[in-house]
Amino acid sequence: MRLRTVLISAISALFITMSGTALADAHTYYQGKTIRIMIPFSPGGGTDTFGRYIAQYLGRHIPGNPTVIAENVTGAGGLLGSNEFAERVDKDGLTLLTASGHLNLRAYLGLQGLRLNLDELTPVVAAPMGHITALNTRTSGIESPLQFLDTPRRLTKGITDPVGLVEALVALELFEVDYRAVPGYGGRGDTRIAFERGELALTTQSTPAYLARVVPLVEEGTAQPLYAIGFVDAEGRPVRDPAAPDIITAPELYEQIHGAEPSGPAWDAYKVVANLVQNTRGTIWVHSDVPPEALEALRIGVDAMVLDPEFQATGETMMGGYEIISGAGLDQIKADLDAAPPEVVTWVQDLLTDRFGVRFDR
Amino acid sequence: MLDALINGLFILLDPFRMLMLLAGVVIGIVVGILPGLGGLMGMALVLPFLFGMDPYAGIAMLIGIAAAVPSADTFPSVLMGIPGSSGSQATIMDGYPLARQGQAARALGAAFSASMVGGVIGALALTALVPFARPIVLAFGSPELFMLTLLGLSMVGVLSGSRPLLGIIAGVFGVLIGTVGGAPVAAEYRFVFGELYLYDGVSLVILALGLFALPEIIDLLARGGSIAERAPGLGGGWLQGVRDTLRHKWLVTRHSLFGIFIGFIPGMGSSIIDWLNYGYVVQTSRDRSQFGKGDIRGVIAPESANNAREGGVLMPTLLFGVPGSSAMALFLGAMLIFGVQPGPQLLRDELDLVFVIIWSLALGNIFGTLLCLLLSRPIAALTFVPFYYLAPVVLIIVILGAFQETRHWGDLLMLFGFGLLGWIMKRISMPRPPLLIGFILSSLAERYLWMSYNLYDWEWLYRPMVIAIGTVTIALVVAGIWVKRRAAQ
Repeated sequence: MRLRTVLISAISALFITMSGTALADAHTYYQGKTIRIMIPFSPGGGTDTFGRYIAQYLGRHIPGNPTVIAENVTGAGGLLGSNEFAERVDKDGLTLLTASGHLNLRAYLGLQGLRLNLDELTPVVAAPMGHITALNTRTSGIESPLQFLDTPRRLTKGITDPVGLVEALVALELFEVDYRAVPGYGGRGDTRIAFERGELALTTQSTPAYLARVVPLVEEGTAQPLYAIGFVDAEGRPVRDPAAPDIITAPELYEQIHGAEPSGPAWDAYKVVANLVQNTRGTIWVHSDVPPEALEALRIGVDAMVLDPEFQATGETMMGGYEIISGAGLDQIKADLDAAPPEVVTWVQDLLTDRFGVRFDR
Repeated sequence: MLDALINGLFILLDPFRMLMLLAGVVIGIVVGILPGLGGLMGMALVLPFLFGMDPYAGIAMLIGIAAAVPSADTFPSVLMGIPGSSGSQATIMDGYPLARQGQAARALGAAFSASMVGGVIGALALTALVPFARPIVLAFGSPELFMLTLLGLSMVGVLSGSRPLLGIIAGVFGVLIGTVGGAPVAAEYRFVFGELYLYDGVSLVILALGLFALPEIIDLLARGGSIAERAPGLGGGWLQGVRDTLRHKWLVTRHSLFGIFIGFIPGMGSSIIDWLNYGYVVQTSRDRSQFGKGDIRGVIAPESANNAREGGVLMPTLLFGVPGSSAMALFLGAMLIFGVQPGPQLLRDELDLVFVIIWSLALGNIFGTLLCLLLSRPIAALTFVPFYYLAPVVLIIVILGAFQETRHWGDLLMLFGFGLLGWIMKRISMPRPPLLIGFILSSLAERYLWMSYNLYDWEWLYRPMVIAIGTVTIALVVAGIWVKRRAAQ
């Protein structure tokens, strides 16, 4: 009896000391060090801005106040920088990677040439961003989203990089609507001009871009919001886009048209893709096997950073009405990824390969 | 709108904002002078400082950079035949021969005064066009853009001088180099041989530096002596250059407007603008005998256009959030840092900001060109220094300029590969500009042709603007041949 008590107290004492040292180490780990946040994209884009925004504030909140620098390592659509991070940096927590939602998706799908493996990474902080699909009423010849499946004219959809549009493409698959893909556009901005010009009947834009640049067309009467991609909760129910709560989500529109909730492989893929792409449109990753005190220090730093009023004020307009994801929200992103059924990967790969010729490594 | 115009000026006249504008101009001049670096690099340098800065000051600084680069990049183009940034390649054609004749100061004087006038006309035109910007931008769909790339490719003939066949071969080779990397309309990589480095294709900066800079350095060293083959003559100073600009005032106006117009159209890219303007001035001149040998008009035309263009590329950037050039893509990112969402509502709700941008552009151009004019006398003296003193520095700057593209060793390999190609082309008198034009327009032509077909099948051929641009292209080529025949007689 006495022995057991002693044993228990000894073990608990040991645990307390251990966690105490981890915590103490977390407080000194980054002292006098420099954290490099790699950004595999060129300066000025949305992901770059997010990475730099975090780099600006993270250092002063991590215990030990390390210097944080952002560095663009560009090339091959993010592949060069990502591969360098995946394979050639020391796993000491001094190098982090800024990824976009679509880069994460590429890693998830195993795009040819990309050696980033999300299973080996831990998110440090992330930012969400929704997407909205709009319809050009003149080009498509329809007035109400409910007529979506009976469009009299050709539904043209501008394609930039198909992997970068995956949430929009999976949504179209969900409706099994017949559309004509027009590849060759440089970016979502170009497709938006073509949409405004009437070349394209459909466009999917990030919610802030939709609000700033498509809403004037809606007011003018040439465009209609069709659906938001929205988010999907843990029970598989659609969640409205917080930055555009008035616009119905694709699964809701599906239910209005068909009278039943969506199901089948397209819906399974939708649930994974919508959350992955939109919850992690800006993500800072660290290797999971860095020293635990580094992970702890990063977590402490991010938790303090999101409460910093100056950080919040700077980010208010930049985040476009979304909240930075930290703490438990990050665990949910990891959990979502782990819970995703493996057939989704194959289904999305097949969609991108059959229709757009995209190749994958696995 | 008039209030906003005046308001914009007063917002900008704050001492801190003016200081930031000037700082931008100075940074722009430095990155402009260094070959291979351009507005993109300058803006990337200041990007980290923008967080938390007064938005107007930050925007003034960025516009200051954008305004000063196309002036300052003239220095290496004229003095050494090395493209200072992708916007001043065509200035080499006549600016560099002038420098070799000992008239560097005159060429610089003409270039900077034309730049200043061009930049101010650019800002004015931007103001005047604010209400009409949308219909103009929207008028150019994929079929029209494809026809514009054909118009650009038709310039190959003019830019080949007396060797049209070699020029066409060079142009075709340029188109071929342009196909390396990711295909524009399919998820396909061409000629990459499994190298990730080649996925993005060949960089224009490295290609231009290789083709023009390395051969020039080699030949200058081999020849010995200084860049200028003759001592400075009388009346060859920068004032003479300013007088040249005044004498060709219509040319300056015409090319400023042409520069803005091309800049306006998103999807054409800004690096083709100076070549189009150079081709245009050659094509429409009666006496072409001196082009390529030191005709001052060959400096004035592209220089007025490349400053005016900044006014043009701002329009799609502000109105549609679609960057008109790579530097503007960065500017767009900076606007997001300040919480400004570009879009048509900017003209409705934030007209003050739009005019701060326009004023910054006008003032930035004036400050930038004045500083360059001040610098032109001492810097032009470099052309009389024996080149072997300069060569090591120039070579290092060129190599660094190429290496900062991706900081991959492939950059250096490419630079030397294209350097060798450029040197061979120079030796066999094969014109090099057609190669650059073919390269720049290669993926654009492919992209817009496929898009036109995908969108409209073959019906796009009957669109009025397509027929109009096609007619202009044919007329320019036929007129060009006719003028040349007549000159030969």
